[in-house]
Amino acid sequence: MREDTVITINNGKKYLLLLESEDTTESYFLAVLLDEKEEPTNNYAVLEEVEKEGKTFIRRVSDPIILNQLLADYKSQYNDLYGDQAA
Amino acid sequence: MNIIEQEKRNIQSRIDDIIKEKQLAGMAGPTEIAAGIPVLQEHATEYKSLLRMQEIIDANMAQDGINEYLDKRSQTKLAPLPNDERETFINPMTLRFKERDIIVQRMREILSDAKYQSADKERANDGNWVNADPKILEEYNSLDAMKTIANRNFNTKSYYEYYALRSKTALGAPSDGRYQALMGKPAPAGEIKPSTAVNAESVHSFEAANNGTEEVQEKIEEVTSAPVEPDTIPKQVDEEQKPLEPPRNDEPDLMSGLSQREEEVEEQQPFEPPIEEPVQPNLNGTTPKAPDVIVLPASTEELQPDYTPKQEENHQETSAPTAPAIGESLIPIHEELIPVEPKLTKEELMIATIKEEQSKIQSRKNEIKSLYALAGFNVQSKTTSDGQIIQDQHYEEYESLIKMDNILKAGLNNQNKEEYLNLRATTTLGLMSLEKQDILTGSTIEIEEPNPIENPTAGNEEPPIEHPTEGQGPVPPIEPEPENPKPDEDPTKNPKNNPDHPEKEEEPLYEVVATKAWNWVKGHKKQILIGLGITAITIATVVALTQLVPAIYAMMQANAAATQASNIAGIAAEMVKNSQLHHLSVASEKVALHSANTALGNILSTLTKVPVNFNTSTYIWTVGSEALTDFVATSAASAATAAASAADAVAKVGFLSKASLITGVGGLGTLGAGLLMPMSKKSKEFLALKEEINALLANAQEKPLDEQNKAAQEISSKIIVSNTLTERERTILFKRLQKAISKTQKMSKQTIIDKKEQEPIKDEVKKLEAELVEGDALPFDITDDLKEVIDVNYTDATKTSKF
Repeated sequence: MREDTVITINNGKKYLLLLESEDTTESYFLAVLLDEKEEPTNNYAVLEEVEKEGKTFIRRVSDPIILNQLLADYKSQYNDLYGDQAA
Repeated sequence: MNIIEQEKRNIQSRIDDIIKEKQLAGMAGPTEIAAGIPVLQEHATEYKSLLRMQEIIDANMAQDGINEYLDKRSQTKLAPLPNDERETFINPMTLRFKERDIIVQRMREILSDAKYQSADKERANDGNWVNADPKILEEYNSLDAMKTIANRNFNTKSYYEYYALRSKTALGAPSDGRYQALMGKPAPAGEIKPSTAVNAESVHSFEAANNGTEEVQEKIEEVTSAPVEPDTIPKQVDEEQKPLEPPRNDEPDLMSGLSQREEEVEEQQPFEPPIEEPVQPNLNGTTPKAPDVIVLPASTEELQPDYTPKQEENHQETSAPTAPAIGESLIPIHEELIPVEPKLTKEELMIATIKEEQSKIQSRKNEIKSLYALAGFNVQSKTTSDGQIIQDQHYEEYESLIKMDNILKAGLNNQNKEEYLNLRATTTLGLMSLEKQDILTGSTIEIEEPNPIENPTAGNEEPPIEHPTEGQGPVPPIEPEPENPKPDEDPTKNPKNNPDHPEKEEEPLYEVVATKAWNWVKGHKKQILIGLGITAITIATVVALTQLVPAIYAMMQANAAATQASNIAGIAAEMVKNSQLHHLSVASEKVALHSANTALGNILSTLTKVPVNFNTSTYIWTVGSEALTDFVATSAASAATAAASAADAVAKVGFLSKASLITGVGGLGTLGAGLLMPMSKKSKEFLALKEEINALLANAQEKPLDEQNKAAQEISSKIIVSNTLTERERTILFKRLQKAISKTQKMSKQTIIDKKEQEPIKDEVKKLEAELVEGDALPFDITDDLKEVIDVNYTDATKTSKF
């Protein structure tokens, strides 16, 4: 899994991976749920990539402390990418 | 001869035939009186239908329902109409409604395409952004002009103006029958279908010019001065008689007598009738009789037709309904008519949305005030900028609501929109949908039913007093997870966590079954992230935690401090180990070890804020004034103290997650920065190296393993030797590189260090590998090339620090 890719999980849902956490050894992705037309919705999730028995799984992050830290990470990346354009 | 005239002749011809047949039959054969005329009984229904068809034609196709004329026609023995002529006889009101829908639908398609597909955009005449392709831009502007014409009931300067515009769009040129029905009249004599394009701007200029200017006045004078010739067409038309000419410009037509027209054009609502309207002559120039229809009120808010039951005898005794004049919306009395919701204009939608926002803001402010009233006397309070006393914990939110209110009053635009959205996200109102954002900034033409889910976490809307993470802000509410989650469960809709229970079950795992690259997102990522409210999400989350969970905040502070102390001690220890290894290493390894220590020394200097130097004469590393070996001892002690403090802070927190209990600050890396470390903008070098790492991962499957290894090695070297990267940046890059390499290894299904195929690695080298990259093994081997280096002098490692 990496940024700017679309993953399909076993329940048929599709997520677009927007940002990957930088300040972690594990991979945490800021993802947005796609609708049937593959257009981004307003529902987001922070997904943890888990490798298990040769397969790739995702797990939703709901721990508020982890979430807080990851979101700060993503905010930092957002500023890196678009900080100059935000004005 | 146009379609209508031909039809009229056919109708009359058939009527004549029916009458003749009765005359021939004489007294024989059953007779029925139809509309006062004796006809054979078998022809009675057909005769009445023919009469009704005449009435409808005389009334400019005004009819009951959509297809009354065609229904009546099917009861006659007239030859079937060609398909392209059938549209001529559909109720023009319906046709115009349909036409407008088609226009709007096409415009929506173009806007939607521009929003998500087009890279280059250009502003159309109505201010919306469309694809910069000239053909598409022209089409959109033509559609806009067509919509303007449709809104004023197809009142155009020249007969074929609308035709020409439509021809330039994907809708194409209409059939003659349809066009005549839309216009409400046949083409005037001398009018030719245009071969040259009509400028879409001229429609707007015509409309602007029509706002009470001379052009309309001239038209009125021209028309009212012309003599009106009622009823010039005899019922029975002789074939030799010259067919009726369509009304000329100097004869009254549908535009005549509109003394109020100039004002109506200015304020034209779609299909909105004027208050009073003089009776209009019909296609034949005859003066119609009193209508049995209702003129609707001008206001769209009152657009509720009054229904009275349809009376059969009306059609027999009275004449056809009045021809709908320009600007007049006549809905026949029909009990089956379904009321149509009036479509709001852009401005009306914006006003409604603003009012809705203001209402929500006020509602939440009232809620906060009531919470204070209920809270009792011992609660901490604060006075807001508008003089209200509220609970301290709601102060930030309340102030945000005040600012939002002020922004709405001042007017929302693209400049302050982001501020408004960020403020909104910090309140319980949460994120706003993209559609509503567009409405408020006025960037769409028509809005469908707004997305009811503004806040992606909207679930249980409980007042967030004690447990603010439950449903408040953009943090998704978490609920107790079932033991065996269903396979079709959406990971974004997890139930809430019960904060009273410190132990939380892990979230379920969902297998990734497919992955595909999506390069489109690169050009739209900023928009998507803005739509998600990335800036607001983090602010809201931080605000929620820091305001309402001070213990966690303190714990994070303690953990960060402990982490930093631990890292300092760890790095210092690493440098000492490298120094000890140095004397055991070959020349190439010595270079690598010294390079590593140089890099670590830089990191250590950043962390400790003291200079870290290597004396080339004594070959001793110093941290400030201390020798490295001494520094290791003191830093280790500091780390231990900090760790103990952090452990205390953790234990004190009553509301914790399982992960946090185990791993401290979420277990997110040894140098977890997060909330407390400054999130300064990263350097260009960092971004460049990050891109290189991303490229390494992206090209993993295309390049052979050797090339990947080489690329990884080069990146690693750049990270080590860089003088501009900060400590945090360096660490982040190493982590990313490590992750990328492990993924590429999996992709190639071959480990870089294969112990079976290669020489066993020396213990010293293994230690070196472990120290250089955050405690994990170097993924690439030290090749023979690297071993050929310049020899470096060193002293006995057992006595002093080396190099």
